Amino acid sequence: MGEDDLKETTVMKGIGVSPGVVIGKAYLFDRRDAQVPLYKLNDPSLIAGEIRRFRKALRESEKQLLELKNQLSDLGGGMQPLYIIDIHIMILRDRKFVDRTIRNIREMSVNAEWAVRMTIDKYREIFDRMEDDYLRGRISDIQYAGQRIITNLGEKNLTVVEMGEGFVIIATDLSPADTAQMKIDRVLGFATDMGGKTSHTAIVARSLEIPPCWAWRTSPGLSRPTITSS
Amino acid sequence: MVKIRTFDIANRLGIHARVAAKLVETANRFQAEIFLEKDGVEVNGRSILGILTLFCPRGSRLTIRAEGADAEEAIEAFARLIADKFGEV
Repeated sequence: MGEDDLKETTVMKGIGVSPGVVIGKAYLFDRRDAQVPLYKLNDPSLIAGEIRRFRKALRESEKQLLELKNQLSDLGGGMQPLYIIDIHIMILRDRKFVDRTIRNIREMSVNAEWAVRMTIDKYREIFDRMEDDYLRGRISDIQYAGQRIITNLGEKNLTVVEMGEGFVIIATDLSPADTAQMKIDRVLGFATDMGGKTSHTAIVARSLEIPPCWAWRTSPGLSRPTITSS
Repeated sequence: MVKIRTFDIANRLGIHARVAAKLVETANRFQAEIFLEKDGVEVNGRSILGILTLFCPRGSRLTIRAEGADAEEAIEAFARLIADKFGEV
């Protein structure tokens, strides 16, 4: 079978959020760890330790975001998206967010990862009821912050993405923190499964003058040639 | 000391995430406890998620209550921020 037989053309429609056309290889970016353990604490004596573990992950997450922010500030060039990192830090410091998660651990006897997910789900319920598209979309910021805590609860460290020249990033969604960990001058465009004109991914992409495109329900293979346009 | 004042939100986009962040930053500069109220719902002025869930588009009436020794200064700082439309249009 020749190489051409392995190729397959898929057309996906998305909402363009910034102008431009790019052609490049796809890079599948997956921040989410599918193996997040969720379990009940079967002994009440474990609760205090679990809360400590959550607080430690919270501090780690905040520290990482502050470091990222400093790195980006050092790059200069009036990085507008820096304030989005501030918003994520504020979510990590939000007393309601923190108290709600601790209450989940205490009252539902669940591990910290599960408790964070419950908190995110609770906010999703609240934000889903909002009529304003922009505000409804802010659940993504809560997810970014929450996902970072969950990652820090795990053993594995956050991956720094190393990639070659000229890729189009394919992802479920992206935060400014994710894009900060990529070599941005090598990224041609973003295609994500979530987001719209007001999403923070779009704001980041526009400020970096990268043309992104939003495709729905994508399941792309690695290195498949991809065109994103808007 | 308790200071209460009501404001009209006049910037085009209303209280979006960046503006909510500015409100939190302002609240954090003061000792006073800060509460924001809209349509009978009150949230803590230091909670970005609380402020976002208030849902304040342009034209919303927002009441800010400051409780503490520097309540007066806090309210004045909020008044300046809101009068300046949060540095936006």
